[in-house]
Amino acid sequence: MFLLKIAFRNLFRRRKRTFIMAGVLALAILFALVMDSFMGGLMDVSFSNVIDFESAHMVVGTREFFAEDDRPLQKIFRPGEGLEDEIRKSAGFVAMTQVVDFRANIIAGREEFPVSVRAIDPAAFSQVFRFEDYTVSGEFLRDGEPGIIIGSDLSNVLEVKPGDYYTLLFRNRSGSFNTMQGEIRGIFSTPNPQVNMMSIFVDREYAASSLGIEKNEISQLMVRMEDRAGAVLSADILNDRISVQGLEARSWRDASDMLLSMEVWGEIEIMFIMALIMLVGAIGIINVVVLSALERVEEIGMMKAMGLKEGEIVRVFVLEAGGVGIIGALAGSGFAALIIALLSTIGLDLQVIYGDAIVAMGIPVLGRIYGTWNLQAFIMFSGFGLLVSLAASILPSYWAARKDPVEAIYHR
Amino acid sequence: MGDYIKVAWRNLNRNLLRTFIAVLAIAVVVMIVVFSRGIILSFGDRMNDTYINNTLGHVKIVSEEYRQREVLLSLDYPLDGFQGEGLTSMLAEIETRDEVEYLLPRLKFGALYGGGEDMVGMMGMGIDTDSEIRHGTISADLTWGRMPETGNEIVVGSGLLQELGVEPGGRITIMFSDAFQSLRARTFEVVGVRESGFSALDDGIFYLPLITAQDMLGMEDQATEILAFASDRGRAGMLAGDLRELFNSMDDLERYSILPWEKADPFIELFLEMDIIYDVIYAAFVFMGSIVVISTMTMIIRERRTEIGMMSALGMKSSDVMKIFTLEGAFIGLIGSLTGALGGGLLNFYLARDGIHVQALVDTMEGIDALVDPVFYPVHSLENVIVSFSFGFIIVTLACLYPAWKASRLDPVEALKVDA
Repeated sequence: MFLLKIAFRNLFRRRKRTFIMAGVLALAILFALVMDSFMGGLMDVSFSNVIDFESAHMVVGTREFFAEDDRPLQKIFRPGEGLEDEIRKSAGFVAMTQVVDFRANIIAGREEFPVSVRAIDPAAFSQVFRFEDYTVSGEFLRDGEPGIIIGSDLSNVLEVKPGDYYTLLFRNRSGSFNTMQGEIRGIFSTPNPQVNMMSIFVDREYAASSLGIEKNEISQLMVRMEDRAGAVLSADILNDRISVQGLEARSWRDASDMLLSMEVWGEIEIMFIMALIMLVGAIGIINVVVLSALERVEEIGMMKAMGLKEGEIVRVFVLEAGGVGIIGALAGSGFAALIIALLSTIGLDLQVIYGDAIVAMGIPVLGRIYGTWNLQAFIMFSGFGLLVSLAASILPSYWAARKDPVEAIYHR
Repeated sequence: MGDYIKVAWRNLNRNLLRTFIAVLAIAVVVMIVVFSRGIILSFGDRMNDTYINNTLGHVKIVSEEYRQREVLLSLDYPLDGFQGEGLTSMLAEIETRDEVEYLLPRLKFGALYGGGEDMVGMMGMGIDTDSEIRHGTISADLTWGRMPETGNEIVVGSGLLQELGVEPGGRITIMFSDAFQSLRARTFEVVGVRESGFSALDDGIFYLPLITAQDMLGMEDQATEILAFASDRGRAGMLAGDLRELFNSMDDLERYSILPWEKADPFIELFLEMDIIYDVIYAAFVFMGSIVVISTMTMIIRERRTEIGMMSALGMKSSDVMKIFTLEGAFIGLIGSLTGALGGGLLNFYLARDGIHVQALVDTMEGIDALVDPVFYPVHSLENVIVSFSFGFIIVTLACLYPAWKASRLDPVEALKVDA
């Protein structure tokens, strides 16, 4: 306790130095926390955009279907009543819809472009996905009616609007070429740029005959669940039950492995930069301890002469460094909390910063990113800062404590 | 001045440990700067080169309408020469310009393969085989076979070849729409395989002679784009200006888009802008290191108050006092920056051979449609070492001006009194 008091008082003997070094630590912690919050926000919106417009929370299909990249029509299956009941029983189930996916080229005017087409049951589909809210012109599909809806980006490059004619060229189930023609009914503009460019939807009943499939054959069952974490769990449980039938249940996490690796990459980047700043911070701490020891050589000698043990003197210096660490951690967390509060209420528009490159980078986000709070990160990064300052101070403290008391006092 | 340098240098030796820590701080920071600059520079260099050689050229010439819908690979807006007089005469005209080193005309079109279970979409690229062999990267990336020479020979990207399920040397029938929108098919022989290492290139492109492409698409003497190259990528802006002048004199400027590589791709543009941000970060880093030097200097000055008072009392001007302390800080900056720059340079030199593999990045890049290499090879360049060294040295010296100025302001009477 006595040592603690000395260390605490020493901390304020050279205020400027203490605060500057604490500032370096604070900067590292601030940086890591703000980046972490931003990444968290980015991932959160990215996952929402994938779940709401591409993968749903959970999908069920044949194992062969998932094994191939290009969504083959041959890998369709007939979901029995039993399977649907099984899915309904999953914890957190909200809604489910059946889809048939296939690849096609859309031909409009003189242009042709490869797209992914999803044949849907419009009413049930809208329970799972959110396209209906994002239809910007024309109207959404209706059960059993012809026509397609396309994304806003695609409609821009093809220069088409609702009411215009299209042709879809694709290979049906038996492998022969077939086409589907009609009117474009509506255009959607979602916050997911990839979907806006690459996806087309058509009614399943209407498309079935041209695709050469039965009305009860589908390529995927897509399920909306209550929450994301629960969906991962339920998908695992369901997968075990249905794998004997050659089927597979996948959660949204499996569907967005690219995003997951981006998340990992972002974390590595934050850690790397934080480590570099901490390295500089550690040198700063060593500097603080050595300088204060040099300044206090007589004092150290006096303390020793009065009977303090080497270990106790070491403790005084380590505690002083710990104080710098605590001030740094508190300041860093405090400022970070301020910035994150701003980031999570006002948000940040990525497109303003990155412009069109956002599409090129494959981030499925248009619109604002809002920061997330992550208590774990606050504890972890602050603890790390404190640890670094304590660790960095040990060696120079021993060096200071080893000074011979006689020589130390004799100094001048 | 010579005396001051001597005094400052001797002062450094008065407390070696203190000097050592200050030098260490600067050395570590400069090393970080050299290393990260090495990585960023090489990342940018390699990325820029890949983009330039494959899709952008130093300057890319396309028709304005085509540029707006480039993803469609439309054949409706070709380069058909000045006032429609044909590509050959246009190329000849462009080649006469001083800035132009060589030209790569290309004709891109969408194509389909329907032989297997499913359709495979891909892009065909008609290339001028002779100039590609002389200047381009396609022939350098061939892992098997040779460049296409006659009518029905093609080179296929390695990933695409696998997807098509064709053996090197095999035959394949590819479908495409010609310029009149009629669906046609043609059988080709795979005479070469290209593996560039970038999935965006290897998984979806095949290459055929420009003449063949023009012939089968009904686009005689036309191309969709011309990549123009100057002697050096730094001259791209000049080249673009030169070409605009030519197009203007031919009275055909409005129809075309003539873009230097820095402006032709949003991803590249973003990356080039980030360079400035990195420089700010480096400066902040070095400044953080200088804080250690500043606090060391402050302490040194406190220790030598009497000395400073003595010097002033003996008639030394305050500007001279400032000189001595600034020089002392500058020496720390010099030694630290030198050590750091050399250390970082060595690190880069070593890593430039082996590269740093980042598995997480490999996975990420799989999904991104950008030409980015997942293996980092920091460039080891003298320029980087020298720039980072000067960076460190200058910032540290500047940072020392403040404590040195404070030292020079000490009142000799006050300073001497303390110890009395």
